[in-house]
Amino acid sequence: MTTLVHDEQVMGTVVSFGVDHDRDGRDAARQAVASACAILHHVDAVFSTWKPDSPMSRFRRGELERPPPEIECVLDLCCEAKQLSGGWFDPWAMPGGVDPTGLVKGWAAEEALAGLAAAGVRSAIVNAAGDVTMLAESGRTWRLGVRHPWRADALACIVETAVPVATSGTYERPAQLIVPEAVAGRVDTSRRPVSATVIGPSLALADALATALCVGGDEVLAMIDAEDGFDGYVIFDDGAEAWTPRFPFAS
Amino acid sequence: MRRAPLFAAAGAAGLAAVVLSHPGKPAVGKPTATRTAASPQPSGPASGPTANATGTATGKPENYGYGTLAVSVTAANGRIVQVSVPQLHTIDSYSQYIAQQVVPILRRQVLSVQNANIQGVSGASYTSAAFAYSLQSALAKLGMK
Repeated sequence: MTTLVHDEQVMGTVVSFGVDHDRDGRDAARQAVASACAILHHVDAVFSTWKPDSPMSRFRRGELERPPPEIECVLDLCCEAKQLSGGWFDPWAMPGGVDPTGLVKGWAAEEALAGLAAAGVRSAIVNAAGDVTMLAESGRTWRLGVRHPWRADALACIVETAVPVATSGTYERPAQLIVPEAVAGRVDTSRRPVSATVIGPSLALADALATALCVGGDEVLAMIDAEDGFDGYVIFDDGAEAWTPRFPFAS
Repeated sequence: MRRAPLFAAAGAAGLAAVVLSHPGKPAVGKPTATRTAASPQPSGPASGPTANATGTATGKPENYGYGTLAVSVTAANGRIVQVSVPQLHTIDSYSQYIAQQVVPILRRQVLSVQNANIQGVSGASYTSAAFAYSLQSALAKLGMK
């Protein structure tokens, strides 16, 4: 068994693939990756808020009466994520109109993985610039490092998991995380999260919850703990860390 | 502000792997370029590097929300040998944020990426559309795209 590795530049970032295949499966793996990349480029074309003519941009400007089905699907997930996070993740609180960006990257990685599965792949990992999802054959787990918030060359921990992992941080883009007005009064100003990692059965929701955890800290961690199948790990600006009891640290 | 170019270089390695992934042209020099970067052609236009592009070019400075950045590419015989970010200007509050950051020590041990035996890293995304666009314009100046 060998692994085909491919990096695709899309959505303003790099999405990495690792597709396991046997000796005769290399061409099939290549074709599978190509079809998954086509899915990513399609998602980029639909959702880019950088491109003024994308359906998402047009929808935000109120030019589309009905959004295309992909946008409807993602907005449904946004709704679920807003509810799960107690309002700490709120795409409708973004300036310039509804902005599902905090969830789309994770969702796109899941769509790409589904594309691999549809093409016959049974074991693979898709890493959308830090949001990771995988197809695991029975019992297989993956070891993933969580980047250290203050050292790009180091890890804060390693998780061993067969379910998706998303990390959100303020160390790269401190101004990116906007606090929804409805919850602004509940922000803990004594210490702020700098890195938040969430694992769970849906990468789209884990991605959104990681964003929420990075804004809401302890309050959101408690919500994640109460949610079946989801676990979280947060690092604060004073170096303190907190995690849910079942967070799958490797060693 | 010494850390930012490091992230950019990490992003560049990934991007360079994409650019370099042409059949029969094994990449050299960069760590990620030694990966078995296969080349299922993306749906975008498939354009290969000019065979002999050599030199250095700096891309158009792009705004990225916290300032501007420009990507510089050095090529030798049609292959990228270095990607860096010579121009990175951040908005003041971000620079101060970094400058004032006293790096706390985490309770859990800091782990080296090299010896971790991992299949991936989860982290806040370090690349941006600005990086990609500036890289593209640098490549265009070299006649590589």
